[in-house]
Amino acid sequence: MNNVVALICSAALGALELARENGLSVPEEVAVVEVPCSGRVDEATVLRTLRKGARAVLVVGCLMGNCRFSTGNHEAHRNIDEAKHILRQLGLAPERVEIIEVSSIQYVKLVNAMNAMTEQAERLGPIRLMEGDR
Amino acid sequence: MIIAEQKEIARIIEMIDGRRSVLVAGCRSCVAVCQAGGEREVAALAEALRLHAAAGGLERSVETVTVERQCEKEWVQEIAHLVEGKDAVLSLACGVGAQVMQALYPEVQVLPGLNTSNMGAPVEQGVYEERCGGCGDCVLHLTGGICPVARCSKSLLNGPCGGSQNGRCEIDPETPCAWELIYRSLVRLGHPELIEVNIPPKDWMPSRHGGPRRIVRKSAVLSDEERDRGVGL
Amino acid sequence: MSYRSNLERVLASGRFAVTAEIGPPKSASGDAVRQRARMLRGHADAFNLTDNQTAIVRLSSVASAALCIQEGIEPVVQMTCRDRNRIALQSDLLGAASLGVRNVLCLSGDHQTFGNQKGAKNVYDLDPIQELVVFRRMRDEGMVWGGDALEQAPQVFLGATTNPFADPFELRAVRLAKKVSAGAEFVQTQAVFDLERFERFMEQVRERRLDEKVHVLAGVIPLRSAGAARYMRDKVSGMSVPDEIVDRMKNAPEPKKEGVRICLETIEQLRSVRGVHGIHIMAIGWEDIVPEVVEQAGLSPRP
Repeated sequence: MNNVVALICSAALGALELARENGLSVPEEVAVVEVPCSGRVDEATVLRTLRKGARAVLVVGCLMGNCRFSTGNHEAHRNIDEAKHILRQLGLAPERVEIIEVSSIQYVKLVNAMNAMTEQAERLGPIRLMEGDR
Repeated sequence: MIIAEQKEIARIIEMIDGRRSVLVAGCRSCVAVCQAGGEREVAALAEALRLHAAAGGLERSVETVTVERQCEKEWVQEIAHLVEGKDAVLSLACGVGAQVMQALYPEVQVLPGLNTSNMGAPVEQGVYEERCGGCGDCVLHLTGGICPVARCSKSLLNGPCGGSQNGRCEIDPETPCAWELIYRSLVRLGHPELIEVNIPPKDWMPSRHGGPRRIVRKSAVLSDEERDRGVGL
Repeated sequence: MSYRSNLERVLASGRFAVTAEIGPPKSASGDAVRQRARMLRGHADAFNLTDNQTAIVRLSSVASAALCIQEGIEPVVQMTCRDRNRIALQSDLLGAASLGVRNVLCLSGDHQTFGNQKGAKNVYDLDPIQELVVFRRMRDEGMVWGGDALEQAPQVFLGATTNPFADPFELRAVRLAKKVSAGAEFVQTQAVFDLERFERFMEQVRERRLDEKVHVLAGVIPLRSAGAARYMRDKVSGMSVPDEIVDRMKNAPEPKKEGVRICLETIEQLRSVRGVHGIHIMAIGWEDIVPEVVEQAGLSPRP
């Protein structure tokens, strides 16, 4: 299992293609999973991904007002808040999950976020109980 | 509907401490509406408990099920095969469902995953407010459709008290003064005179104060023969 | 004509009445009550003993009243609905009467979330209007709620509170009417700082001819500080303190003196409001200012 799993909505996925076309490399540690909408990622999915061995989860959705399903990205934010809340309650670091908004041409922003998440995953290391106290 | 909230995960983890196999059992009724114990919340909590076990190197298997209504034996009976052999059932139903579950499976401990709060309604998604006092002797016809027992902090039957200011209750600015609401409602309904009537001391016997309640709907109770023939529950 | 209490006698005679308050201590010793009683004796017609005010545990009002009677002053026992069910309320009324108490004030009481026992169960078996109905039946029909006869009925002068400064305004006189029909013979109002609103309230009271049925004692509080004035204006539900008063206190070189001055001005104005039959001085924590206020208001000596 990769250190970082990125769940990217179909509309934002184009940014990855653009990155490659423009010679910007996407970190290898990141496994990319396409979802129809960022709102599809619920808290159970985030937790399961971490349980399966990922150190960090990055959810990528569209800019506010730009979701093809109208408000799916709003729901995504609420879901990620819930996931962070659960992580905190478990004594785990809430920074293991993050959500960002990109348009399909913001390939630099996306790659930067993936790099940042990779560094975060490296810093946090494998999941341990009570790590949230650090 | 019944409004409940999930207990803090730390409390739940304390409760299931040492149990190797746990069944998380939710309910599709009230607690699903207030997003405390429906199928989604069951999935999330189960994942949380599995993640906790993995991170702590604990042996724990977590299974899940969500029944239609945990307060009715018919549905709870159906999951016997899932309950069998478990160290505990973590019920995400309201206190009623959790008790029905325990009564049906007396050998397996049922732990309450929720704190059951009150009888209320969703005001908007995510916001649930208490509405009914369960007093057993409803006076909504006298109070413009607003329950003074549940919604007045002092359960006054002849309110408002002197702490009502700008339509708010003195104990919390977020709480509307029920008697202000009652008065406005009576006026809108064309019965302002009802606010001038003194409601006498209430007989609290039909409420919880008279002891745990048992209500029998005679015409629904089966005869012995019907029971013998296996009709109904 | 025999009167149940001195307070009733004074009010019935048409004299402008004066009542004051004693706040019982957080103590198993009644010394503080006795000391205040001795200090206040003769300066008012009757003295309220508050009932776990602000839901903070204090020496009980009935016990405090018994101490007051021993010290030669007439108490008004405040009985809230917050802590006692109808059994305890009726029993405490009998107990109070047996100890010589002849004035009782029925009120709902500050919600327990205000005090130091926030986790307590909230009783409110009766509300103050129902409390009046129950007490009046004990007194006039010699029976408890439900019909069982009492060997001896408690002879008490019944009172209640009224708040012209709470909302909705149009209901305030209505609620007073309800209390009167339930048995209230005198009422003490929330502290008056906002004369204009108080006068509008009294106008409605007179319109309903309630002033012919109940004695209204207007509440006054001598302010000790600008902070106190501000607190009452901003933090206390159901109190109306005009900004001018807060400003006067803020700008006063000697706040306590200014507070007394404002109090005396208020009393002066209240005496001219038709339907006001007395004042109720609430100086909790500053009881020793009461004699000065009564005297300077020209209300000494008491009859």
